Amino acid sequence: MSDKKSDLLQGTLDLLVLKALVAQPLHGLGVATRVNQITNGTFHPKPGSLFPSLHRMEEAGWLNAEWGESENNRRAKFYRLTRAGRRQLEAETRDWQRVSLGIAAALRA
Amino acid sequence: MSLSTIRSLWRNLLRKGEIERDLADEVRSYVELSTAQKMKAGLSETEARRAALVELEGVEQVKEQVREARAGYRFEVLLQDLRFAFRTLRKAPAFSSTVVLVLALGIGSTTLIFAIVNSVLLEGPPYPEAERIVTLWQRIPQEPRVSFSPKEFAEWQKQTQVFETLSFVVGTGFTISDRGDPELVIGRLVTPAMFQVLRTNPSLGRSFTESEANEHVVVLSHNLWRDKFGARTDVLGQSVTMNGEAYTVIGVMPETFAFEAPDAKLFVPASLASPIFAQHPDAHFLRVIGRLKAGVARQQLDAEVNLLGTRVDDPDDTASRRYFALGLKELTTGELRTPLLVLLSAVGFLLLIACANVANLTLARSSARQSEMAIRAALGASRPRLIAQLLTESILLASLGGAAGLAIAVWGLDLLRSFATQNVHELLRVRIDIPTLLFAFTVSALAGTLFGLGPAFSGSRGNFQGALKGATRSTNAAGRTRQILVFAEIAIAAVLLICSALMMRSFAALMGVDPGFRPADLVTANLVMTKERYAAAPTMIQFYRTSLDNVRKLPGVEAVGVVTHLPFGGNDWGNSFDVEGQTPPAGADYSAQIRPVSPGYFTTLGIPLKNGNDFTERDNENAPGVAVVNELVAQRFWPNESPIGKRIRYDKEWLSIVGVCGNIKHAKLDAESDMEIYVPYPQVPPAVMQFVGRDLNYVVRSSTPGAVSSEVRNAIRALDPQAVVKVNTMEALIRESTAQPRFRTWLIAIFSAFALTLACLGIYGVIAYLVTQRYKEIGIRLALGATRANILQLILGRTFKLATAGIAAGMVAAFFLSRFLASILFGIRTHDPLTFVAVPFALVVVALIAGYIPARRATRVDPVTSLRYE
Repeated sequence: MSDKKSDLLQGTLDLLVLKALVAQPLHGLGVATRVNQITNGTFHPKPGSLFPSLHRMEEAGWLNAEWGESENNRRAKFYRLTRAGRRQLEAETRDWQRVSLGIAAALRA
Repeated sequence: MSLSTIRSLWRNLLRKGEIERDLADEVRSYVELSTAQKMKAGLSETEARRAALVELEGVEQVKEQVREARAGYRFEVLLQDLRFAFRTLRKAPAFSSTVVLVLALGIGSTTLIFAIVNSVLLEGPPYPEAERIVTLWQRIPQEPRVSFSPKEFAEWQKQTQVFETLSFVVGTGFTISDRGDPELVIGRLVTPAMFQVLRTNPSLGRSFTESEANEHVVVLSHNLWRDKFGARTDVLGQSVTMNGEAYTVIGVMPETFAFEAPDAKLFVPASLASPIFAQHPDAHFLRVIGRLKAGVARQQLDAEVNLLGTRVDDPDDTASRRYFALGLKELTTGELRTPLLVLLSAVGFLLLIACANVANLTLARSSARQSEMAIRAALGASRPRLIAQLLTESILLASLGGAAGLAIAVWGLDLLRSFATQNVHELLRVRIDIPTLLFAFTVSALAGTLFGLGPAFSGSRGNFQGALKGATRSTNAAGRTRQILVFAEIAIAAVLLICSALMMRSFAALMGVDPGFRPADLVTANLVMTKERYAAAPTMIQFYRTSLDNVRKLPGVEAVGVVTHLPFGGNDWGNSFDVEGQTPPAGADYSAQIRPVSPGYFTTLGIPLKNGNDFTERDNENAPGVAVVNELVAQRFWPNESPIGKRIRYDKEWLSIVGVCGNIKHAKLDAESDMEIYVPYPQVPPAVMQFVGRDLNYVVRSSTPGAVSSEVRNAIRALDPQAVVKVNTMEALIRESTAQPRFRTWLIAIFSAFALTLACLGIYGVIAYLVTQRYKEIGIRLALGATRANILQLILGRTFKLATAGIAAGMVAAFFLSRFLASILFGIRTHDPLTFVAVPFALVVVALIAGYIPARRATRVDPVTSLRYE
């Protein structure tokens, strides 16, 4: 369930998902949990937006998908960051920082 | 688009099944893992699973979201929609075929007329920078458009500042005698500069050089080259005998070249030094055409025209001439503009009616599909998706309608061309080309969107819950929309019908014009006496006498006469004349048509002799000059006395008036009669005879026209085997002169008939729908004691109200719009009361008939079953 006050834009969700997969490959639910973790509980992506994001990024070549076994031996589809994905993450991180600095400056003025 | 995306696109399109299974597995696995996670947090298995599913917010919805994010989704959706639309339409053949047919008629007619308008009005003449090609004319009080004389042309050419090249054209006949049967063809004498004016060169060979201006060389038209010269490429340098002299072929024009008219079969060079021009410097028969220098504005041209107009006029030429310029395009299509625009508007109205009709049909159908829409929405289709799918159906129908319409347009064009006569020869140029195809395509797309959008929006909205439960009652809004659509249809149809009724009455008035003589049972035979064989007046007069005698003696000939300028024959001879004892006001000579005729001409044609006598054989070239004038002349100059014995002259000799005849229509039925002066053929001065006496037209009255025409031809050819004799009937000639008005009246009548049919279908549809809507109510009324007649009255009353509303609106619109028809209506006012009353009245009757069928069905309602009707 996502917080009403913080509905995610598609691009922002992509960024968070990429970041979540930096450490290790995860399945869908795992990504949602990890995003929740790294954002200190601010965001918990719904499957309705998470899955489209994962699939789109997989088609774009930033993620690789493979069926594997989860921690409790259930079948799950795992997503892994590719090299192109890592580059994309860096690029989007830079963009985000630039944007947020700009907005912060605007709000201070 | 990255390589990876392309690979995915490929994969998505080809391995659909695999991918869907994968997605289903993935979602299922998510639910499992989520359940496990919640169980670990303390919930029971059922609670955990339920929570997991709730969190998912719908399995199918999630899958649909993923599908939407995939590459190639839009395209897949389009394909899916198309496939589905196709299947759906196939399952409703009555609906689909009706819509396609209606659209085909509407789009087809519009495309056809657009093709005509495009070729004739929009595309200019097919010469490079054709807007710089300008023709020059003069206007005198008696004639709105007069050609130039050689003297005027010479002066103009010397003094012009705005023209880069100036040239002239003269039409004349050539008898080709050494290629098969002798044939008379119409050709053009042109100055060599003509080809620079038009910037069009022969496709074979070359055009004339300035030095060849008096040589015997000829450039052929494409058609003549094809018909007479076998389309052989070795034709250049060959010799051909025309008018008894040898000419060398030096060029062939391209197939699409049709200057000035398609009947110009060949071109021969001329210059002002040629005898024909040098000897008649004041005869006005040169058609002047030139190319302006680049960048010359209209005002500059007009300024020069006004200036030079005063300079080239002889001081003693007192006719008040006004000079003016006409662009080539204006010249060739000026009088076609209004009729074509009227036709285009008419057909546009027809298309609107067709769209309204189709929208109505679609609306009716969409309300029946509520449950289908409901299920699709439940399965995860968003509103835009539903709208897209409905719109795809409409556009598919519109495309099919457009394709069928194109076929109709092509077929219709062929049909029209086979009816086209010389007078509508612009039709020969019309083709279905790229702009027309684009037009058809655009119109189809617009039509599809137009009639599809409304139903798509309303069909995708609505109470799906109720629809799923089985209630199929349509909303009030849909019903009202349908009524408004039919109202619009009826109004537009009313406008169209009133305008076409006006045009039909105008045409009837035209055909009813009394030409001043009796055209029935009149055979005409035309012969041109060429210069080579009939050098001067004596030989011409002799042939005239002998041939007239011979024809008179033929069996079946009741009467015969000869005239040089046949009514409706396409020729005339205007000349200035003097009246003894009456001087014209300064600056305006008297001018009339001069007609050399034989004795007996008036009786043969049926022109009444109001006063005095006809000519006799005694009025020959040695006798005193006489003339017969028509009533217009008599009333103008001698209103209170008899003109018999008074004198007039058009040449050097004074002629005594011996008779007065009735006025006739000479060139067109809807033009005013001219002042006419008839003179005996042998008395035409020899110098003038050379020009105007070469055309002999025999008019023969006979009750057996078919047999007589070949007899006449044979009799003439017996005297001169080389003669080219063209036989026709007067009625045919008059009919040809009305070809254009006939053509456009027919077309508009056809469009109106379509429009009326469509409007009736619309009325039928809406009333039938109304009856189904009020089934229950009707049943109750019947049960409560209403008679069948009451019900009929009720339904027909509704029909009447609907129809009169639309017809009234149409009448008002027609009242304002009919003024645009003013220039093409003849003999009838644009606000003719009879038409404006009769047509609406007839429409009301027709509408009531259209509504009668469903009304009758209403009376047969069984009250018991109706009460069970939902």
